[in-house]
Amino acid sequence: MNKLNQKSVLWFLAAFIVAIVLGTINTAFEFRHQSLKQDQSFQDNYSFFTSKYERDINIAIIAFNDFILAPDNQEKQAKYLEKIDIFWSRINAIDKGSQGKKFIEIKDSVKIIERDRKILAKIDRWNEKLKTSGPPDTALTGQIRAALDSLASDGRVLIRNAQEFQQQQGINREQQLYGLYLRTLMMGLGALLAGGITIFIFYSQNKSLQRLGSDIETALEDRSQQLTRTRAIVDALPDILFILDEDGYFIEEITNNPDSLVAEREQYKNSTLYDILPAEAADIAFDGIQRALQTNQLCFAEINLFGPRQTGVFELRIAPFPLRHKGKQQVLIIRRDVTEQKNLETQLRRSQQMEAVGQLTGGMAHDFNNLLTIVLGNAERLEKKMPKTNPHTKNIASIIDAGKRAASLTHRLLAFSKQQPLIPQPTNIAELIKGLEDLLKRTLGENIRMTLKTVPGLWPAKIDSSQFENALINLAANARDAMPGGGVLKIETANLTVSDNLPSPQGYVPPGDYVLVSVCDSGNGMPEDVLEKVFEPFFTTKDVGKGSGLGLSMVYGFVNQSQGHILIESDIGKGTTIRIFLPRSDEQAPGEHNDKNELPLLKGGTERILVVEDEDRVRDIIVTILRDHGYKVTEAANGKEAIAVLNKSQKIDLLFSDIVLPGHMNGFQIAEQARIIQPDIKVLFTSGYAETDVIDQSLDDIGENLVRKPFRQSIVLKKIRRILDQD
Amino acid sequence: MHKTRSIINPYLITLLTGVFILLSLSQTVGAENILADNTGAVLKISGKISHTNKKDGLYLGRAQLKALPQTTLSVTTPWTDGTVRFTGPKLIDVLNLAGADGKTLTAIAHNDYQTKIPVQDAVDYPVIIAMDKNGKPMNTRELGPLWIIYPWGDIQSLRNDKYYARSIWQLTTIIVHE
Repeated sequence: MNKLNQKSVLWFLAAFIVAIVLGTINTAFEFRHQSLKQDQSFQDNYSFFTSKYERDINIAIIAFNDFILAPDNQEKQAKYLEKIDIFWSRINAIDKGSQGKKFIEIKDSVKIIERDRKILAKIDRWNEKLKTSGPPDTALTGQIRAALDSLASDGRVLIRNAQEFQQQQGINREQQLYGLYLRTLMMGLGALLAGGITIFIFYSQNKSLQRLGSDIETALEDRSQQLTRTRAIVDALPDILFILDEDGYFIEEITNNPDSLVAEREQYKNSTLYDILPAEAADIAFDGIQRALQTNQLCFAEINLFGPRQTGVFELRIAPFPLRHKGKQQVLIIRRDVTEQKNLETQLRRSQQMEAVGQLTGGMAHDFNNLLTIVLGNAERLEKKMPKTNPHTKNIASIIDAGKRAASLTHRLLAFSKQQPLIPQPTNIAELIKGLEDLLKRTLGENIRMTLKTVPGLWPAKIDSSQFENALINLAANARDAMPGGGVLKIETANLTVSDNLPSPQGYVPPGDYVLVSVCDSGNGMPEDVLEKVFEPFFTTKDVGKGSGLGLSMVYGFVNQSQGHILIESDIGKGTTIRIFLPRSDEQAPGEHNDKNELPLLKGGTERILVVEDEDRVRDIIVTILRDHGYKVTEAANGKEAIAVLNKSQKIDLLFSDIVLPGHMNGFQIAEQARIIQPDIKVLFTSGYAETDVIDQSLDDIGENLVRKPFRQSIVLKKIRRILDQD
Repeated sequence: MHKTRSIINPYLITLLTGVFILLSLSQTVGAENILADNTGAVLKISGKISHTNKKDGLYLGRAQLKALPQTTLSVTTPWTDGTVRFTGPKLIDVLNLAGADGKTLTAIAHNDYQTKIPVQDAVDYPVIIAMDKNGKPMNTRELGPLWIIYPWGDIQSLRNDKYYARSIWQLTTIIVHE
C-alpha cells in the first residue's frame, strides 16, 4: 500500500471530522442563540404590557370610586383625573413603536383600543361636566362607571387574548425550537452517519486496495517463482529450443544450453537457418518448417552435422507456434542430439545382420561338414584300400588334403558366427598359433610384417582352441587397423609364474602359472580415455560401418571364460601391447600332428554300435568305417527309429548320434532315453555345428564325448575306442 | 427545551396585579402629596444627597431643570413611532446638582412604576432627563413631563430590554442609594 495515499486519506478524514464538529457546534450555538432570544424578549411580552393596561384602568377606577365617596374633595378629583391621564398615556403609547407592533398582533387589540379611545374621549367629556357641576349627578357618575367598567372588561379581554396569543406564540416558538433542535440533531446524526459511511468507504477502499496490493504482490511472487521454475526446467533440458519465423529467421533461442547452435547469441541477430547451419541441413530444416506451418502439425526432420560446434545426428521437432512475430508465423524447434541413439540403432542393426549372417554361415557350414564328411570318409577309405604303389594314391592324398583344408575353413566360419560351443581342452598354444599363421598373415595384409616367437617347452593351456584362434584373428585385425601405413606385429608366447598379485590398469592378475601370449603392434596407440572403454561392447574407434565394436569385447569375454586375464598397454605413437594370461593346464595336450603316424595303429573292436544320422551318405560312410574296423553296426535315421532299435532288447554298447536331427528328438534326448532303456550304454555325439539353443547341457559334460564333423577316421575311431574302454 | 417559561397562569397574574395595586397605592400617596404641595416642582431627589431645599429632599421645577445645560438625543424607542428628538438635562448634571453620593438610583414614576438605575450609567453615557419631545414639553398623556432617555441612537449596545426597562417615563422621584 502506498504510504502517501494512506496519509492523504487520514488528512482528509481529519478535515472531515473537524468540519463535522464545527458544523455541530455552529448549529448548537444557533440553537442557544434562538433560546436566548426567547429569554430576552420575555420582558416585553404581551401579557406584560396588556396587564399594565388593565392595571392602569383599574387604578383609575379605584381613584374614581374614591372621588365618588367624597365628591367635594378636589384632591381626589384631581387624582382621578391624573389616573385618567396616565391611562391615556398608556393607551396612546401601547400601539406605538416596536412594542406597538407586537401589541397589534394580539387578537382584537386594534379594535379594542379604538373603541377604548372613543370611550375614554367620552369619559373626558363627562369629566369636564364633573368639574363644572357641583355635586356629581348620579346618572353621570353611573355613565362614567359603566364606561370605566367596560374599559376594565376590555383590559381583561386584552390580557386573555394576549395570554392566548403568547401561548400560541410560545407553542410556535417551542415548535420552532423543537424543529431547530430536530434539525440540529438530524444534522449532527446525518453528519455522523455521513462521516461514518465515508470512513467506512475509505476503510473498505483502503482494505481492498491493500488486499489488491498484497494479492498482486503474491501473484507476482508466484509468477516469478513459476517463471524461475519454468526457466530452470527449460535450462535443464538436454535439448535446444529455439523459435524461428516462417522465413527461417531466428527469433530466439529459449534454452540456455552450453551446447547451443552458436557460440554467441549475437550471431542469431538477423540470421537465418542458412547462416547458422550448412546448406544441406538448413534445406532439410526449412522444409520441415514449411511442412509444419502448412499442416499445422508437429513435423520431424533429421540433420547430420559435422561442424566444429555440432557433430552428430540431430532430430528437429518442429511445432507451429501460436504467437506471431512482426506479423509472421513462427515455429518452435526442439533440437535433440540423437547421435548415440542412432549409433545404437546402427549397432543393433549390425549385430542383427551378424546374427543373420551367423545363422546363414552356420547352416551352410553344417551342410558343408556333412559333405566333407562324405568326401573325407570315402577318400580315406580309398586311400587305405589302395596299394601304395598305385599312381592314383597321390590324387587321393590331394583329395584328403583339400578336404581337410575345407573342413578347417568351415570351422573358422562357425567360430566367426559364434555357433561354436566353448570346448576347453588342454592345448598347445604354440602349435595353434603356428597353424594359424597363414590366416593371420592374410588378415594383416602385405604391408604388415608378422613375427612369431615361441619358447620351447611351452606349457599347455586349457582353452577352447577355436575361440582362441578367433581371438587372435580379432587382435590381428585390430592391429592392422592401428597400422594403416604398415608396421610390425609381434606375437610372443612365454611361460610365466606370478607369485604376487600383478596389478594392472584393468584389474590384477592373481598368483599362478600362466601361458602368456602377447600381441604387440607398432601402430598409433590409443589415448587413455579410449583405453578405458576398449572392452565395452560396441565401442569402436573405427569409422561407422567398418567395425562391429565387438572384437575386443569378444576377446575379453573369451579370456574371462577361460579363467584367464587380459592386460592392455598403449603408448600414443608407439603402439599397443595386449597380454593374455591363460591358465596353465595340468594335462598334456594331445598332439594332433601325430594323427598321420597313428593311422596304421588304429584299433577297432567287436562291440555293437547304434549310429543315428539323418543324412544317408554320412551315415553310410560312418557305418562303413565302423564295420571296416570290426564293429557290429545298427543304423537309425532319427530318434524314433533309434528308440525302436533300443527297445528290441539287443544290447547296444555305444550310441553314436548326431545332435541335430529331424523329428521330435535331438541327440541328447535320444541319449537320455537310451540310458533309461539300456543303463550301461555309452554315448558319443557328433555335430556339424552346435546351436546353443539345442545344447542345454553343460558343454564340459559332453566335451569329451563330442566329435566334430567333418571328422577324420582316426579321430572317430580313437574316441570310440577310448569311450568303450572307459568303465 | 424551555418548555414552561412562556406559559403564565392568568390567575397568578391577576393575584400579582392585585398585590401590585395595593403596594402602589401606598407609595403613590406620598409622591402625589409632594408634587401637589409644591406647584411647579416636577422632580424630587432624595436619599444620599447633600443639597436639599426641603427637609426630605431636593425639589426641582421645570425652570430649574431647564437652567441646566440641555442635551438633545435623536432616538427611536419601542414606545414611539419614528425618530424622536428628546431634549433635557443630563442625569449626571441633575445628580451633581443634588450632590448625590451613591451608586444606585431608584426611579419612581407617576404610574408607580419603579426601576433601579446604576449611577455609572449616567457617568458612562449621556443619559438625559427629557422634558421636551420634538421641541415641545410633554404632558402626562404623552408620557411626560419627565422621561429618562438613553442615547440609543448612537450606542447600539444599549438597545435592549435591560436599558429599555431603566428608561422610566412620567418620572417624579429619584432616590439615591449607597
